[in-house]
Amino acid sequence: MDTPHTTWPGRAVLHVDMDAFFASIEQLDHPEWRGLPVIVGGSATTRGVVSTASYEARRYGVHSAMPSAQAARLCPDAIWAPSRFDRYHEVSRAVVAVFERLTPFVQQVSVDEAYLDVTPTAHRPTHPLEVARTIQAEVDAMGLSCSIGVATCKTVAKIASDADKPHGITVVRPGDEAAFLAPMSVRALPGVGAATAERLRVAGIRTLGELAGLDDGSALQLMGSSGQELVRRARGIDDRPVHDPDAVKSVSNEHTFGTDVRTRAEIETALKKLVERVSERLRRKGLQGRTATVKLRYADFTTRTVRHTAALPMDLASDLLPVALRLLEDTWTPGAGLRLLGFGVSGFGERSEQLDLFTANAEDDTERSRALVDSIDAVRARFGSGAIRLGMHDAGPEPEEE
Amino acid sequence: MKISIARGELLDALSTVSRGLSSRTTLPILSGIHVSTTSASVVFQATDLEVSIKTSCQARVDESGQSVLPGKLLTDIVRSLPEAGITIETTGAGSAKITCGQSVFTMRTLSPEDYPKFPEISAEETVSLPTEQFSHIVHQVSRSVSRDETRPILTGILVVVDQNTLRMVATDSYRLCVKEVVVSGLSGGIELVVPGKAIEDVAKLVGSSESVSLGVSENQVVFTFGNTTFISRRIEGTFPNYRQLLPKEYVTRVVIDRVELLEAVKRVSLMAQHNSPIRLSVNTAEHTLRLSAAAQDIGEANEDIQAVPEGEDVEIAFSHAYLLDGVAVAEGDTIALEVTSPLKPGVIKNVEGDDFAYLLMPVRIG
Repeated sequence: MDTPHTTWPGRAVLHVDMDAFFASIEQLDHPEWRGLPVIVGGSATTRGVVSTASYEARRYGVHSAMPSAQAARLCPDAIWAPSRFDRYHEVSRAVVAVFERLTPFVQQVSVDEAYLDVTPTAHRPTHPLEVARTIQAEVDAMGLSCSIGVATCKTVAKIASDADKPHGITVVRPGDEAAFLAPMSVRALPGVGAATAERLRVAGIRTLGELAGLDDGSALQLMGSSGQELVRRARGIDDRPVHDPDAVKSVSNEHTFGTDVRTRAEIETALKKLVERVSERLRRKGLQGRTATVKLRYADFTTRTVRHTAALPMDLASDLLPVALRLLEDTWTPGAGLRLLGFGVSGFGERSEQLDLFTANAEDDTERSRALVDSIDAVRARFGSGAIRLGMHDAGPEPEEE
Repeated sequence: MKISIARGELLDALSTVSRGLSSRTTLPILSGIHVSTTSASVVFQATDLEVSIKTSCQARVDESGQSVLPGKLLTDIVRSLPEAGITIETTGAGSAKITCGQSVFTMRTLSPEDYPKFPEISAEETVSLPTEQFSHIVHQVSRSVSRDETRPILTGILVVVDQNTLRMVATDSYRLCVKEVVVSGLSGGIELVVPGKAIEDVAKLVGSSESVSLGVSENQVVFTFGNTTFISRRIEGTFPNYRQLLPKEYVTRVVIDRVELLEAVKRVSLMAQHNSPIRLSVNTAEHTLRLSAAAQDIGEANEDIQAVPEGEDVEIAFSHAYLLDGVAVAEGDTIALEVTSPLKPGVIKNVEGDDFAYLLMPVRIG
């Protein structure tokens, strides 16, 4: 282990990963559940999946993304908690606020993980390990737990944060990256999925050390266009900056239905909810996009994606919804059962719009509707996204963010 | 028919009526210029059925008569000839001969019987306007005329004569230009919308004439200047109530050297590509107006110019083309720019007086 007394040359990146985040929040809010197996996700009676399992439940072999029915068989005494995304987002914001007190370079990649650039500078010479310890102590004080990877780049920091879970801090010193990664399975590398891992296995490559030794030609042949980049990362080389503002290429949400839906009303209601969620996220990020995408996955798992590019950038649900409904109309065959519905917006640029002298009243309407959605956003930011809804929603599960 | 005319006078007359030539090929007769004689002059006419133009010039008429000659070809020939006398003579079998020195052209003519009769207008109201003022106002407001045919009323210029003032207004719904002048000796009241192109043509043709008279009938407007009569249809409909668009007050006002602003806008516009706007920032403490523009993936431009500000700091963005037009047509060495909010129209005005206003709607930026 490193000590804060040795200097840290070059870049320092932390990857902070919350431990069993949703389950920990449930245990925090329900003190009687502490020390017991808690599973957050769809209940065993529907076609749900496990969102998060507490470490007590993980001992029974339960893990994220496992079908609920299987989890129920493995751990029959588990306490099942439905997802409360509003609450998780609220806690997530509080955790991010801790990060932001320590460095301006925070890139939240999901509700429970973030990268921080904590490269020591003349003005802020704190050693990266010291920063990691401070973060862990503050998260502990909130009644939660996190694991942190400390390294010179995002890839290594991410893998390091997973090396000693829960409540660990793993430091990979500058220069030690390749040695740290070498013995690990290729699956540990973000970007290597089951299919890629299988192709690599057939080629006799199981560890990151073996992957790191691959030449460019073989990398391209085995893994396609991203191959060379994956080999670089397996060597511990990753120049991606923390908080790259261009990183946001699209904002999208998807919803997997508990049971296939086939009526227009159900599908449109779900689409409206997705549009509203995407719209809210766009406005929160200050983004407007010109391209709207609707994704449909049918009962037989075939997936269709359709998109439309509008003349002007959009962020208001009132602008996005007609586009989304038209795309749905063009694509969905009435009666066809849907497993999954997705909606996204991309094509971000500086939003600019030539105003018109004679639609001044219409302008006022736009201003009013913008003022309205700003108020709704403010209410939701304070009380959660379930606090205020359009009248057309029926009560249903919250869509998952992608 | 046989006539002889000095080349310069003939060319002037042909250039004038050529503005009425039709480009529509469905009615070939309208591509011709109608030529007829009086005792000591020749009358030329052209029409595209929207406008009809008639002018005349002194000539030696050896043989009276009338004919319709191919307008563009005749004008091009006359333009190419040297400064000398030109003779036009109709021959028997539907053709005409044009002779100048050693040059001889013959051309097919069209039948004068097929040519539309020149409209007879009995003007209900007539006013006479000094040419210089008339042309200047048309030049100022005509850039704001809409080219979009879907709202016909905006393709015209509102002309108002009220007691002793002449006012013209044009708007394409993104900007609006209004200019008013006092004309001594005016009387009567006129209010009509004239097609932008027609009134621009008149302004170009009035040339050396001292005054232009404007007569109005129910459907048409007739401009008379020198030997020329220019008739256009009026545009039906109600022109937008521009008065209610003019802001009554402002939050920020800056007084700027007009030429300096014009040059700065031209420079910064180079970076305002693909309709990206120019941002204007008024800094009251520094007494500056900052112009900036950025083109994604290309670069940006900034320029600070000295200004005399009044009110609050403000930032507003305009289309560079609309801003440039406004600064270009404003008059005087210094101009005032008044702003109420980044989403309300900005106004370019004369520093003193309310006789000129160029409203332009901002571009909303994120």
